[in-house]
Amino acid sequence: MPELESMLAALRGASAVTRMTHVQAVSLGGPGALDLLDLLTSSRLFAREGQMLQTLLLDDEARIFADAFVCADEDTWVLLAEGPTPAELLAALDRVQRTCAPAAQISVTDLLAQHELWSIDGPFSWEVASALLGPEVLGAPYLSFLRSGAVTCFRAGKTGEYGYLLLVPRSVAAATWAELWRVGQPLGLVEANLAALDQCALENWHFTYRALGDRGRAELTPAEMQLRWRIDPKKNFVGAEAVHRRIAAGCRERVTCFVAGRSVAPGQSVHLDDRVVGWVLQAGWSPVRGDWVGWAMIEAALACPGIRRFHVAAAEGPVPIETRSPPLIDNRSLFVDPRKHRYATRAETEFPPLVRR
Amino acid sequence: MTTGGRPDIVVTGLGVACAVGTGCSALRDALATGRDGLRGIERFSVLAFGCRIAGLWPEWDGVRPEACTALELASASVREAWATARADEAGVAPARVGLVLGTCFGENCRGFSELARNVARVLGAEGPCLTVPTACAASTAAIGVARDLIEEGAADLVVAGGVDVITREIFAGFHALGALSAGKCAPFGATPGLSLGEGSGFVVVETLERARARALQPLAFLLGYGLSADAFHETAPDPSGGGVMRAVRAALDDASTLPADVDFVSAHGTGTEANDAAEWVAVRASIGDRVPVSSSKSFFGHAQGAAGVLELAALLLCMQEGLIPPTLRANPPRAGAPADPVAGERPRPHPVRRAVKISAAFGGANAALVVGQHRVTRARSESRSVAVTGLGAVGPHGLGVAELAADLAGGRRLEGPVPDFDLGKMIRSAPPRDLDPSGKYATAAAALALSDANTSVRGALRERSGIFLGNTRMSPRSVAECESSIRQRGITGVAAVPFSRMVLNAPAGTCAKLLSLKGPLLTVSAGRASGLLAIVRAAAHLASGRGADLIVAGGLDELPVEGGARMAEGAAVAVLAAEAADARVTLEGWGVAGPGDASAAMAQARARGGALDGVLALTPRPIDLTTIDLQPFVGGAEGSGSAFAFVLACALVRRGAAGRVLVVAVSDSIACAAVVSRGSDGR
Amino acid sequence: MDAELDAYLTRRAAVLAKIRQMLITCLRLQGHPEDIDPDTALFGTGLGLDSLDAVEIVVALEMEFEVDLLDPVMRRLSLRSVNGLVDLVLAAEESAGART
Repeated sequence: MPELESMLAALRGASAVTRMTHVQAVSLGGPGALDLLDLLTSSRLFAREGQMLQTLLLDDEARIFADAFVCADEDTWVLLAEGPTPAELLAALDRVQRTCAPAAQISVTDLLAQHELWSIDGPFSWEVASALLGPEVLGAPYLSFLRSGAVTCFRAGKTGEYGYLLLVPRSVAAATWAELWRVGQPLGLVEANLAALDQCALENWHFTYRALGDRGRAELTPAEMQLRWRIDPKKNFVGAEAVHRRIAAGCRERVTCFVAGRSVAPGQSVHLDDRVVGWVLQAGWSPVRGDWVGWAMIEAALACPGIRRFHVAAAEGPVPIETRSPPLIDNRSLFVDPRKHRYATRAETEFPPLVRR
Repeated sequence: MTTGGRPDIVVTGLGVACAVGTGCSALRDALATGRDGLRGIERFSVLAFGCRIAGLWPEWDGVRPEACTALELASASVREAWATARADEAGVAPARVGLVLGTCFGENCRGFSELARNVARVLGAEGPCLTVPTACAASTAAIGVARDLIEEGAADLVVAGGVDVITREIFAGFHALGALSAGKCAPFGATPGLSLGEGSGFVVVETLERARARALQPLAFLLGYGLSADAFHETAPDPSGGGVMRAVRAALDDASTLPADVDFVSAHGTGTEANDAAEWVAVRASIGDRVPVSSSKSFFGHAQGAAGVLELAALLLCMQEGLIPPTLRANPPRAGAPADPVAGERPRPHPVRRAVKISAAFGGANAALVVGQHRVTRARSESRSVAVTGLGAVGPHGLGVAELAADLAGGRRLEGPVPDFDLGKMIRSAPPRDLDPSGKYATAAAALALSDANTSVRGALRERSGIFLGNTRMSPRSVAECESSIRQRGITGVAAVPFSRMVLNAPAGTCAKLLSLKGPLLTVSAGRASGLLAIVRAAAHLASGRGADLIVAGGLDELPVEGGARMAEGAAVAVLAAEAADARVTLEGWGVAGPGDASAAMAQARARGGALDGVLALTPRPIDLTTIDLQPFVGGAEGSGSAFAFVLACALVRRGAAGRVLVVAVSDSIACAAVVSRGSDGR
Repeated sequence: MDAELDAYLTRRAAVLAKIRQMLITCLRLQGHPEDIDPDTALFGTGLGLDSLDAVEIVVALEMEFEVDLLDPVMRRLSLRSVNGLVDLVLAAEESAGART
């Protein structure tokens, strides 16, 4: 497996495939399935067949239990969740069913018993995905999914580039993996890992469960994490009351994007002059940008982009940081058009740079 | 001759008026010499816009915009069509001559129903007359509807086509959408974008038999047509090409034609990236990748409601001479262009046995026609039974049919606005964005009806389920939002979303999207008969087994923004299903005729006989003493009133209060009738 | 907190409020302006807006905030989050101020 830098270069310039062993995939069927999901998830579930929605699963105190996609299939709903273990997820489903809808008929199937999940991401990942699965992939809008043979292809992704999540039956996984590399290698495909995907998510302001860290998981709600777009104001769901209370009371701190010239680490405090105004939630070196990027929890009144007054109390001394409006990458995918461009001829087009100073 | 097969229906007359001139000879000449009609706009100021060209009608050079009426433009070509068909010699009574008019913007965004009637008057036609306002697919769909009217025997001659006029506001709307090319449009070519056009065109449709009776050589055989809905987005086409593919497949099926039989495709080919790319994907999937595909919009621009018929005219004029029209400026080709876009400046010699005309519209409505040089034997399939399996109504009374029936029985008229309700509570798939009232009412009524029918449109049923709506006005709120955006921001600041929602088929498109109705989509305008007409057209479509097994049909109204005395708004729809087992209400018969011929329509509807328990009528004059005149009760809702009447009749039958009811609606342009009865006696 | 930082935060808050209101009004979004988090993404994720909404935003920015977004590349890069729109407006105000 290549080094982190080459993975990131591929994710930002070509394409990379990652085995998504950290994602749970569960299929819910039966007449009570939608109601159960409604109680469990924070968003309004307005997906039409073939569409996906991003949502959260909270606990009763509105802390984030899972980062999830809900996908509307013909008679079933697929839940793709990051955060809990399979046992924890099933326990959560079970608890909600018992307390809220005990008589409802619901069937729960762990898709990972028979499937693997892979993600193909990158500005030319569409070329790899369509070479593997067929041209229908090219027409799939973001947050939709379709079936190509035995594989289900979800157009999603948290890197800010084109991204395709593949649910591959184990019976054909080896053959599909081989075929993926056969068509992908000439297209610059490399294998990446979760650390690389998470770094891309960090740079592109995509929430990931791991970005919270232990302290975040214990203290933070969607309100502080600027995830209100995933909260339906009128729905009843686990954690609804708590999150609305937090919103009504006003957040003490809010997650803010920053860049730094030197290394900073999660947990380190953020200062304005001599006052502590926050703490670093997550940070990572960005080879593409050539600096450190991170997210910090900062006092709500000060949590604004464009401020150069803060510094982080790092181990080696204070590190000045600059808050920014995310995302921090001018993703190549914004300018790559499957109708016009090809990986092989990418040098012939003058794309805007990935980073603006 | 109908020896058990379907009758041969032909196109016998053709008239055009567009950017390259007036008359078929002008169009023929332009095609032969590669001369397009796209030029600088002088009729109104375009200084503020990035695009300054369009395909305007040359007769209006130097004419004040206020004097440019759709009626005048339509008249310029309808007479030619009539004359070339020698229709005066056909010996057809005026009441048997129909007119189907396609248009996007009507007469200055108003008078949709009236326009068809006024054009009919130019010819002295007094048969069934209606407007098909399905935006850019309007005239293509209109020709298909005309074919049906002939085949069903509702008329002996039908003049079908379309008209649209460009105004500064319409130009601004397309500009705001970012759809216009700065230069002349180059469908399939390097520069994306469309060029707006205006024009009118008509064909005369009749049986081969009738044409032969006056020794007239037909221009082409009208072999079949198909309709579909993208159910994807208000303006962007489904990039997978699924919608166009479904319309083409339905047309090929109707025409008993295999993909290999198709020698040429006249594409919608507007020149925008979204349309052209999706359309080629659809053509490849439904016909093949070798067939030559050209866009005649490269000659006269996108004439919107008239686009389909004008492009069909170009196709027919070329086909007669063993040619196919080229696409101008298609070189160099863009990525994803058809393999053979007939790039060039002259028509190409290419024999055409059968050709397909494709049109795609805002709101995701698609229409396709199959025409040919020779007759094709098409077996007549068993007529299928049509049942009413569900009812839905949204109106001043609230939501639901029971409350409606109670209100009307209590003598309360339908009047005023629909009370506020949350569509999200009724339909899971409704996103938390504000819908325009028309889209909201149509979707809510359809959802209620489907729920009443215990029908969930899922899986394979989605592509076999359609929506037909009667609608007579542009959504007043969308029009007001457009006008307000122009006042606040100037002409270049016209708001794109309300502009796209203004077209009369937008509500049907919204409904199709939210309820996944991917089968045929049609909107019709015929005054107070609109709703019932949509229902009757849906029944005919289902009975003939064409492309759908279920159609949600009815009518729609939206109050003017400032309200309106004695006016009502809302939507009433019925779920019509073919061959439904255990149906409680059967749509036993239906009929369509000229406005003065209500008795013919009623006779057609009553063809299966049986005593009537009641007649519900919406007519300008009472029919007879036994009729319940619904005009005072639902007359305040023009587009939907007759649909409310139909829904009421079905409710009565379902409740057992009546065994057989005739519903009749007569407007200034058409008479429509339908009989609903207790349905358990099967076919 | 010093005056300079305070002034910046106040300016930003004012523009953010206007941008939030513009999004709700022009795009017919449901909910209250305060419900829109400042760094919410506009397209794809976040508000999940589409191409028609993009047109509306560009027109509103040009008409109400005098932001010039003629360059298609800059357009794509600037319309990514609510705070990104605020940045645009602040930059336009500054260059307008610099010109006068």
